[in-house]
Amino acid sequence: MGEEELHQLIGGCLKQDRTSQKMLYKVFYGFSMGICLRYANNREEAAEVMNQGFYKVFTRIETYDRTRPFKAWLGKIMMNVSIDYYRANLKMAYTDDLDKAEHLSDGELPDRKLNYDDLLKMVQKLPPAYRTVFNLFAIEGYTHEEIGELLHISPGTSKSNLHKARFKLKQMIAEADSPGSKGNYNNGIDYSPIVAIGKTNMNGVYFDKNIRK
Amino acid sequence: MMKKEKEEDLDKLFKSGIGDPVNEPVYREADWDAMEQILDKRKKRGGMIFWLPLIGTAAALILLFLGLWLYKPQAVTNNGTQHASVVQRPKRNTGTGGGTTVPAADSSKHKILNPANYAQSATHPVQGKKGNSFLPLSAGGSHRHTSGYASNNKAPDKKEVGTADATANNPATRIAIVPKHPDKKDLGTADAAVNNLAANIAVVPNKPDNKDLSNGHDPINNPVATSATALTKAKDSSASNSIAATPAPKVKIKSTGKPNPANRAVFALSALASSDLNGSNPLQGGRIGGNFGGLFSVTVNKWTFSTGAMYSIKPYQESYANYHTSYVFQTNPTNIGVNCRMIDIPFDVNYQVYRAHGNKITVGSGLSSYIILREDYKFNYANPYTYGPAGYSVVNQNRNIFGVLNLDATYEHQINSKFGIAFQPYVKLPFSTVGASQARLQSTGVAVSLNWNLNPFRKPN
Repeated sequence: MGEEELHQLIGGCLKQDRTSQKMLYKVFYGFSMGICLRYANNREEAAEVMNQGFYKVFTRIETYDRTRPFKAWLGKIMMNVSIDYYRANLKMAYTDDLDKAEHLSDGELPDRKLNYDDLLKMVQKLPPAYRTVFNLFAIEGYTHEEIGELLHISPGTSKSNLHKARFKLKQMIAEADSPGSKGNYNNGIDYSPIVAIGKTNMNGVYFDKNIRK
Repeated sequence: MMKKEKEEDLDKLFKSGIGDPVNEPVYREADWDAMEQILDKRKKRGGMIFWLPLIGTAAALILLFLGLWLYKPQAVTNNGTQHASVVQRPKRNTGTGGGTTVPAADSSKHKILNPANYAQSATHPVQGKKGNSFLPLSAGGSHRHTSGYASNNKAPDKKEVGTADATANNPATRIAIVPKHPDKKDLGTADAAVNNLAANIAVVPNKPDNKDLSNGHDPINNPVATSATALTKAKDSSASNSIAATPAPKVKIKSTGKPNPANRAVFALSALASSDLNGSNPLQGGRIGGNFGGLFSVTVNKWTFSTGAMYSIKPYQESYANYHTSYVFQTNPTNIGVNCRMIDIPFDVNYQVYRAHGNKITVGSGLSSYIILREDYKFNYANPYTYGPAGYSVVNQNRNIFGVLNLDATYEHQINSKFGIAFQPYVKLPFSTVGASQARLQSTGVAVSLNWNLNPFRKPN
């Protein structure tokens, strides 16, 4: 999409034109979904978070500085929405007994090339607290201090979560590389199997993953 | 060192693998449909939220106007309602002077006037200020005093006291009771007798608190001084004083136009707290919740109109059969624990059915609007190890405008003129479903409130 066309769409969105909104949504759907999928458990959850992000885009598009890349602005919004989602609902969602991970040996990285879906599945299988830190550190490039501020946790917790995330990922990679794995990376940590969520009830509905209050 | 390199390699693996996906997720129309729903729903709610304060303000203004309208002193309306009736007509004093009634100068008759009554007679605003009143008239003896009875006979501009209802409180027409009559007939004439009689009319004083009579100008607060002046003036009169033997006729002024305290509005603020039992499907699985907030009320006659806002915590439990969702559970929960936090905005009307000794009982009804701030749903499974979602939350999504019927009975005890305490058993019945799970949420409980009368000098109903 050319710059001019993009600006036309943004202009339409400024006027709350639904057609322009849909066009913008379609154009950046894949990009936005790609970000949200990294932070979410699954596609449905990612779609929900992404829609919240697009809602912010549509309602605050007047704050977008046209001199800067739209994609970067959009990506930042998607990431922030994902973090908000984590903070609001998943912060206390899961802890496991990975303290013993310190005593385990580091696995070797696989020889074979893992594709996008494989890697995404692995990341999505991480507990939300680990996944969020891993995404922010390894993919987005934030420091532990910055992550601590973003997630309202200490840098030490961020480091710890990153370490545990790496360990689990290595474990999953090792499993994936094993002959009989068949691509099943489930190492015994399961999350809520939200497979179908009615559209009408999902606006602003957040699922507490495996939180038994 | 090696460990760190391995970690960096791992990070790179994932960054290159998912950081910039080659094949982006495919667009799904269903996701846009959900997006449109969000846009439409929030647009609608945005409009409603925008109007809610205006609607609330309008309702408050209407209540305020209603209260003020009923509260204001009814001086204007008194004109048509105050009566002065002749209770007893004076006997005509025939005197001894050859058939002519020889009442003395009417001024002399003032000696028998009750000073207070007299003063009250002289409380005409116009008269009271500069002595344009009854006093010069009587002192000079050149004016006939035509109160109600007398004026029936002669005064061309007379106002019959017994019937001049509309004029009793009117400064201009109150002269009818204590008139200044333009007709300057001599006191010694036959008319004088009439005048004397008229002057003997004792005016039954109105209630001291009836400010309408004084109308702000009067010497009613200083009746002695006024009457003393009158007496002094009367002494100057040379007319004979046969009046002394004349029984004073009495004119009773009935002031039906006095503002009735019962008609006045009483404004009150209430701090309210309550505990209630909440549940759906006739309070099945009811749980105890709490409410607190403030109410503003206007009481007119026996009717009390109230509105306000209360923060409510309404926990309840519902069976899965009563739970509505489109989410497909792999294993259905046995029941769902719900905790709702909301703002309850009631508009209630109560009618007083009993009142005595500072105690009051009212019954009332009204409608409530629920602005649900948060709903927390917790799924309870038969097997605690069931694989399924634990719960979810809905934040600031649902409104229930005038969707709840309130029924209550209130017992209020007035502690003093300012404060009262009230106990209010109530029931809240839904017209429509409440919340994301579309529960028919019912509540019943007892509220305790501390009421503060904003105008305590008004007697509360």
